Amino acid sequence: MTESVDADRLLVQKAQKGDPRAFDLLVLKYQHKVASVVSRLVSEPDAVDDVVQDAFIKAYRALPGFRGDSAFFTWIYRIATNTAKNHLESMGRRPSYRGQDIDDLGQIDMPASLREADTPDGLLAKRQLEARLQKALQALPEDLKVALTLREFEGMSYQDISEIMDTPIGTVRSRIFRARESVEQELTDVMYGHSRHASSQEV
Amino acid sequence: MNKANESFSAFLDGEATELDIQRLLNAMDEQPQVSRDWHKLSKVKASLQGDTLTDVGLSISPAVEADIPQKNRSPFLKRLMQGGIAAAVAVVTISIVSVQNADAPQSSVAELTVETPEESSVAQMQQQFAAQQRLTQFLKTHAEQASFTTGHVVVPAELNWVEGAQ
Repeated sequence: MTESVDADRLLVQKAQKGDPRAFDLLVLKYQHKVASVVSRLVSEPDAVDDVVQDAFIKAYRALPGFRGDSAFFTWIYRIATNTAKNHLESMGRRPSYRGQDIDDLGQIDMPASLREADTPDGLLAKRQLEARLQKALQALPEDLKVALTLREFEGMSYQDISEIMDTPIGTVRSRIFRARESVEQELTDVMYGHSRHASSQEV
Repeated sequence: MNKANESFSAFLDGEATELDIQRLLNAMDEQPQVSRDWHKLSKVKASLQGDTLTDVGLSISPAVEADIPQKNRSPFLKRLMQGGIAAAVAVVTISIVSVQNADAPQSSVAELTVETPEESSVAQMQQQFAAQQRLTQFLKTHAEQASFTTGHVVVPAELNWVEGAQ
């Protein structure tokens, strides 16, 4: 197994040279993180996707000027925040989060359960997703469940997981992928039935 | 394709190798619909992380591709367009200079040097013509060079006034 690389930087360089596939991969990787950022600022669920899309298009246009001084996610985070602020200003509102000044956002320490999905539909979608996630995780074979749990909930690297599970990194990669694939198959109807802006909480 | 999906899973975790990235890019060429599978995998990870789910990843490509024709024009085409703009600016500049010359009152210089009116007039016109040629050439060269290096050209102040009047 070869060393992992700074894939984001590699993809940014390829995108800067005009490879749109590279940028698509970055969007696939960060779209939900960006949506999480935006949904904290923009309360209308329908506007979140538009703002996220605008943010990525702005990032694509600005990509030639991105020097890589910061990580790609840091950069897109800033763009997304500014896009969300502009969206709110264009709607004639001072950027705020649930009535609180946006500049104080860092001080908000709201419980995760209240932070998102605070509409009845959103809450229902979230609870359905959580329940199905739990069920899908419980149904996984033990080796897949351990690998995925160590990765997603403990945030461990593949190297650490391989040492804990006493198995090669390639096997860890494969187990994590198969676990995700299995969960995805279990959750298809939930994610695509209520996918738009369903937020999920850690399970 | 399973191998590419596995590479994508590792990519989501920041554990992709250079080979993984190349595999992903190749897979996108061979099977453009593979992005849908990867989008689903990204949703699984996002669900487990508690992120807000979005489907922007599926719709961003057309929006981004709409930008590409502008960005990926060949250097030759870009140069051609810049040259065109520079030439257009040069023509406008020359026109303005000509109009100014035509509108300008006869200068006292002409009156001071009237000893042999016919000869002076011809010599003066020749000088004026040569000067105008040099000025035209200078402006054209300057505008072209400016467009090649900066993408901008020198726009005479009069044009700003015209734009402001609109």
